[in-house]
Amino acid sequence: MTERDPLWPETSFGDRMDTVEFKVSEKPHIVVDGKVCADCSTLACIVACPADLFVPTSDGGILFNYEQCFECGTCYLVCNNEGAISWSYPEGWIRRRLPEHLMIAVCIKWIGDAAVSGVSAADEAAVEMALRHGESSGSSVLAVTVGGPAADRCLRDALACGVKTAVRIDASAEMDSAAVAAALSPVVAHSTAVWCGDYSADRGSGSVPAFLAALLERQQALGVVGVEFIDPLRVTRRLDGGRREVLRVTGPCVLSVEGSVARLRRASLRAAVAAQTADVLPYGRPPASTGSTSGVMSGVVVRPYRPRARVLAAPAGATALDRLRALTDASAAPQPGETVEASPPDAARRIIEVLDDWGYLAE
Amino acid sequence: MTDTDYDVVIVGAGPAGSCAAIEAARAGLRTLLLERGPFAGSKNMYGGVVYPRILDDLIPEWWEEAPIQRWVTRRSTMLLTDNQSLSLDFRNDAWAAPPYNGATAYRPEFDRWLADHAVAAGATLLCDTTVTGLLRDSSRRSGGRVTGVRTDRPDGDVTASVVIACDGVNSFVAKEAGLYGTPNAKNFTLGVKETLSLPKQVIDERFGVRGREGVDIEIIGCTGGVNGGGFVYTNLETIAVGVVLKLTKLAAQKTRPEEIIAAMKRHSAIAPLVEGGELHEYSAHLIPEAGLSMMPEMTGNGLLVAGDAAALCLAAGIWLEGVNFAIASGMYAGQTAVEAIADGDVSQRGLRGYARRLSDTFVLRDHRKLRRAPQLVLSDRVQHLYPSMITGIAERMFRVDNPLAKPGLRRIFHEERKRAGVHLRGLVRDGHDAFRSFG
Repeated sequence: MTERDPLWPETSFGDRMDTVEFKVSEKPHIVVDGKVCADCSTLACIVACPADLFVPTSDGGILFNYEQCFECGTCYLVCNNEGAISWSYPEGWIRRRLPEHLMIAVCIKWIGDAAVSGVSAADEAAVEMALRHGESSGSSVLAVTVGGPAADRCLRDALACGVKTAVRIDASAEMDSAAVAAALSPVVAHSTAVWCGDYSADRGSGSVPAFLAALLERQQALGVVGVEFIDPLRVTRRLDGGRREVLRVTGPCVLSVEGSVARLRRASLRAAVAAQTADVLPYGRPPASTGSTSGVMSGVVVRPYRPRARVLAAPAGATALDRLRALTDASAAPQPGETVEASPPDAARRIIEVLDDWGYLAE
Repeated sequence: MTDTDYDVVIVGAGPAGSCAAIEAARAGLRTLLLERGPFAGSKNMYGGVVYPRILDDLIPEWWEEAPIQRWVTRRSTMLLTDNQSLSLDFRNDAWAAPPYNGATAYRPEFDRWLADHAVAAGATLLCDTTVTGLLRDSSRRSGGRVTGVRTDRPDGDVTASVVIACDGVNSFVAKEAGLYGTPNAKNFTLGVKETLSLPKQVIDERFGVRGREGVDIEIIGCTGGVNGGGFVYTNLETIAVGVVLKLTKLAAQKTRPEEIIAAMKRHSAIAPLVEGGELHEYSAHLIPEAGLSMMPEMTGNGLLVAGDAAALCLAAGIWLEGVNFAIASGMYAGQTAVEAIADGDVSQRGLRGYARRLSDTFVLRDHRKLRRAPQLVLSDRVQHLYPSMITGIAERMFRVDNPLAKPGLRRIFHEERKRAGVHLRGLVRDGHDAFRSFG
């Protein structure tokens, strides 16, 4: 088939593999005999493996990573060298995400005002609820916000805490609640549960969740003060006069929570750092026929950076200690930072060059 | 035989395993259904069409409760070349009402539903449990009869009178029992699939259906130099798009599977259907493609093999079926186990009713009839030459080349046949083969 101009950006391989969750066994279920591979002329496994897990090494061997295996069996069938790949059913499992129970969504309002900046306690609680809901139901969590580039900040914080995908709808956050809900609705339309905070940092009206529920034609439970993650979900609402109302929520729903319902977990240092440098990719917005989405402009998907396995040359050194040092950079001088004084385009070019050098732009 | 833990142990809770368990448990046998994943169906990767009519006896009015996505009322077969496409499109409104014909389904839901029926019938379902080997009777008199399975759990040996292997395309149980020869890559294809999410209304508009109606599109000529085929299936709010690739060609061609899907999605006939769909799932699975010629011995001593594990997958171009064969073979394996245990003979001889049941029903009759079809469909001529010839003929027929007068059909046929490099002798031979298979 002839190559055409791409009609849409091609999905990166990392994003493809991101759609699958793997619970990995400690024991590799595929063992590759590197000695046999050294004589291989076809390298068929490298082309055929649909999860792209086989990587040729510089010394003619094959590097193999079993953790993301689909368990299809292609590799041992195409391997022409008898016995190079031994394969058994793994003890871990893989789970494919299904759109129906694919995602729990959480909507976050970012306030960029100098006076009241950031995310409300209620929105933070909503993120925590979405994460717990995701954990209890085995779904991944999607975080959405409407706003300018500064709003990426709240998405990155959510990513650090364990949100899987983050979408920023690039539009003015100054729109009225109905317009914000209209912008959010196509993005969260496929999620089973949509969690929102009861109020934003600038104390808005808290009406976006209600508009959202109306647009998506879903049931709503607003102003929730307590949640039990059992099946079906059980939530407690505050009523007048200190009374409480307990609701059982089945099916697709929109929920808004008060800030008191939970504190957002602290992200680990590594996760927080990784989230700050997460990839920013263009977001393909759903087709316009999904309703009144005229307020939606382009958005971005923010994901944690997940490098693919790549080959490193074997370390040089006479003794094991030297080789260890070479591998770990333990004795090397730390890489000095570089201050670039140049026009913004030149500075950007230099930054990209350096990132590329360091291997961050591999894909 | 009462000193065993169970009467029947079934390995794998896919459609074959669950239906075997339903039969066995309904007959009152102590039945254990083992599943490697965290729930039945969790291991599944399937973008296809299920033809569940075989369930009529097992679960009457199954359509009232089966978790299906859409009822297929439109079937298209598409021939693609780089910049052309030719479709044969069939629509049948009657397929949108009971007893229906084919349906798209998410197999994790469908398989779970079948497994629930097995549990309701009285079978024990144990998930997160991998079978690691077979137990055998070492006494000479028994002839090495399979007496149970070994699992990865502590204290994990389970004894049974009959073991039914429904452990899928790579069936390690059937291999360990010596029922398979050395697996050969040429008997397999690799299915690679993307699930793309689109709003229901958009899918309905693009594919010209409404409500629960769905579309099944099979494509030839979309897989570049690798022999195979492509498919587009509609679910309720997603579409499944993918390709099926001949393993030996894939390994030789140096093109990665996901690149072949990407190229197909960019084709002018496919792009409008899939554009804007958000990727929700990427996965891959082997398909036992070669039909009758690759099937193992179905019956061992104390052991039966069913479903994909027995290579019961029909890949004959216009018919692409597997789940119905799995369900049927599972049912027959279950019935045979019931019969053999009642007769007190679970040796290979005692289990011979299985081969008879398979042989007398569509399970092997379809495969016998279509034994030449898989090879024909994946041949270089069908894959590369005929699409070019046929779309060439269509182009010449529909082109208005005034002031030239219209050429006759016969002239077009001969010119296009020559241009595409099709030899008359090969064409006649393939026509004959196709007629013998499909006729």
